[in-house]
Amino acid sequence: MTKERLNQLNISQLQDFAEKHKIRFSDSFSKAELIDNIIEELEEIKQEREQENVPSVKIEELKYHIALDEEIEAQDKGVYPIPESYQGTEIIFITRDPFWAFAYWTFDSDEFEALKNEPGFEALVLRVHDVKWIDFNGKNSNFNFDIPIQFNDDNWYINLPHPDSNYLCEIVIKSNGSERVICSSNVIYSPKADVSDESDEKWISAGTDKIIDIVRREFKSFTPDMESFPQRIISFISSSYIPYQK
Amino acid sequence: MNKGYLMLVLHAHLPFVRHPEYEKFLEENWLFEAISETYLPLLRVFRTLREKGLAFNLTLSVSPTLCAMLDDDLLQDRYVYHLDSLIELAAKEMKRTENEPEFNHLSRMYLDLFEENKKDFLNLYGKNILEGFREFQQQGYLELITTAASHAFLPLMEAFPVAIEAQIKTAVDSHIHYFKSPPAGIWLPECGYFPGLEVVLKKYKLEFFFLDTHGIMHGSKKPKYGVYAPISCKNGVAAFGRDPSSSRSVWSPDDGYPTDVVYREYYRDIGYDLPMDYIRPYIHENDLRINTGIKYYAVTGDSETKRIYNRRAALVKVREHAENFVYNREKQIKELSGLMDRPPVVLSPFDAELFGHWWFEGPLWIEALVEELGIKKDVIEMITPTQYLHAYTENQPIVPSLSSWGNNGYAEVWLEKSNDWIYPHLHRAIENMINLSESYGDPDELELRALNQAAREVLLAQTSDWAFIMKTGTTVPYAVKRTREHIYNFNRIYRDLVMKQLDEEWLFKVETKNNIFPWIDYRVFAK
Repeated sequence: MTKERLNQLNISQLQDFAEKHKIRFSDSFSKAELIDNIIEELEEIKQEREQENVPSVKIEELKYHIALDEEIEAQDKGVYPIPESYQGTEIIFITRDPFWAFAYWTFDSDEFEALKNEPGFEALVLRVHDVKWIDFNGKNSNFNFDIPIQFNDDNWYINLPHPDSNYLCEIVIKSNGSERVICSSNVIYSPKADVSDESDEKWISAGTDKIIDIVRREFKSFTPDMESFPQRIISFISSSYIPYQK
Repeated sequence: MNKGYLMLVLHAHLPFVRHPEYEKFLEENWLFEAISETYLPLLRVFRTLREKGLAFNLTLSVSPTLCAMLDDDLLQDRYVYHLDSLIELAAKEMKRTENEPEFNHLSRMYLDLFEENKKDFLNLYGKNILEGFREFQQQGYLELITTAASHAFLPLMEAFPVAIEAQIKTAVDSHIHYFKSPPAGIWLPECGYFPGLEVVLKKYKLEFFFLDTHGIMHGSKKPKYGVYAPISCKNGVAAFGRDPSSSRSVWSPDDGYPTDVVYREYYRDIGYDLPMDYIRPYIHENDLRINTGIKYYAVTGDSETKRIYNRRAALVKVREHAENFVYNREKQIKELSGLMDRPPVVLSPFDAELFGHWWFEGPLWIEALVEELGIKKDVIEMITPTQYLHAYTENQPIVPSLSSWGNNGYAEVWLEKSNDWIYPHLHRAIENMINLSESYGDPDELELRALNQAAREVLLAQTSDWAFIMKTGTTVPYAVKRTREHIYNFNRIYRDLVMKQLDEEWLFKVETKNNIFPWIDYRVFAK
């Protein structure tokens, strides 16, 4: 937001703007102080946001750069109401990277009410199964773990135990000492996070490892940093995975 | 003598932005700036190289959404208006700077540039610059390829194979429509790949695609040649992997060529610098200052005071950087040649709009690069994927890894807290579109129009740019609105079809506005 643009707003509009952007300010700030504060904070937010972007993303972003005022309201004033949620009970599972996946789900409204009033209700959980090399029958996963969820949740970022494996997840309700699967997702694959040890005789040579070293030398961010996940921090009920054995 | 290949790939893409309901629309400037600063200057470079008898085997993907806009009468006319306005502004700048020779020289440069753009656009290409790309392909200079129809980030659609196929089939149909011949390969949007995608590519006769480095390096087998030869998926579709070194020399925001102090500074535009009363007719309504394209300063460095741009110095630097690029590739090829039993191929893919739009001198760097390679052709030659795959028919079988060229190499740019809300809507729209495709075997005329428009809306909603913008924070309200618009339009058509209450007047408005893929058949979403 340029100074010139902010100067066109009165102090109450500036305060609204600051609140909308979660910028802290004091009621005693003069207009000039408020503007300086907003500009400073917005610049910080912008720098923070841009820091994590790789060059291809930074350059691509410039395609959409028209003005210095980033928070321009959309010129298209059309109103496009879209549903908050959809009918049908289902869960969709999506791979994000070797260590993280995203699940979102919907419940049929009738089923949702019934679940909320389930007699003897104990817990609602997201159960993640490792199904590598498995034709899953509901019980035979290599291992599984539960993530407790609430009725008002409708999505979750899930930390995957292993790259190079297959997973699916279920929503499970626990009540009166028993469990029932509400819905089951598609199977996803978590990609490998390093160079394979496997090779065919025909496609290997004395130079291969050296070539791989040359690529590694230039390609620094080979393995994503699983610690740097910026969204939800989750905790597993069971922290003792049964390690997957090939 | 060691010998190797350079595969230079440019990906030209902008999302479909067309607003006939407004007299002037801010985001249409994305297209106008790209035409002025990238596409027309690139075509000029191609003509210069052709006149010099230099073959440049360059690969260019032109996205179906960009093709639709470049071919559109309304946007073509609006671009002419945009150019006229710039010509008027540059002429005023000539007058305003008449006592400041350094600025005046640059005003002249911009006036010449805008007038040349207008001449090329109207006289050479009859307002349709796709003609220019087509011509260079026919003459064997360019290999034109496609990308997903609406530039969807395909790994996030993996659970919906019908949507993937609709993206690919529509893309190939679009390419044939605009370029009169089928594409041999595809640029996967954002290099986004997941294992199994090649099955759909093969079905539509696409023989190759591109991956970021780890897409090959983390594949199912240790890659014998690293990323310096393509690999072959199980079904024979080839994948080329990005060379990190050559990419960084151009991309790097710290020490990449475009950051050199003598090049033109992107952010210092007279749209921000000059008094409002003077600049008002050339910026946006409500006195919203925007880029005009007239920029007088050089990158300069960290100093607050920017130096005035010196065109001559910049052109000298362009030549130096082209020589440096070739010198480094020679070194690279020499090192790799001793380790390989075939010539290494160095893949350097870039967003086309980097050249000219951000890096003003970029198109001239490509010209200088091709000239420099002409001198060194016994060591390094440019090659297209099709040429390479004809010469080397057998490649190592590997299943590539899920990957993209975004932050950390996977899907996190397009799937994170700012944009994850869109996927339940997109996926539901896809499921409902599939239902429509399967339940309407013999629609009447109005139903047919509604079904085809529904297919367009579902495709447009998947455009990766909207999620990208929500994440990166530039013009977010517009990206949110566009996603909502297409989801709303689809949902309304779906509801109206189910309820048998189609609103012809409203449908006509939507068809007129979102008029992409006029040939589309909604059955592209049938299972």
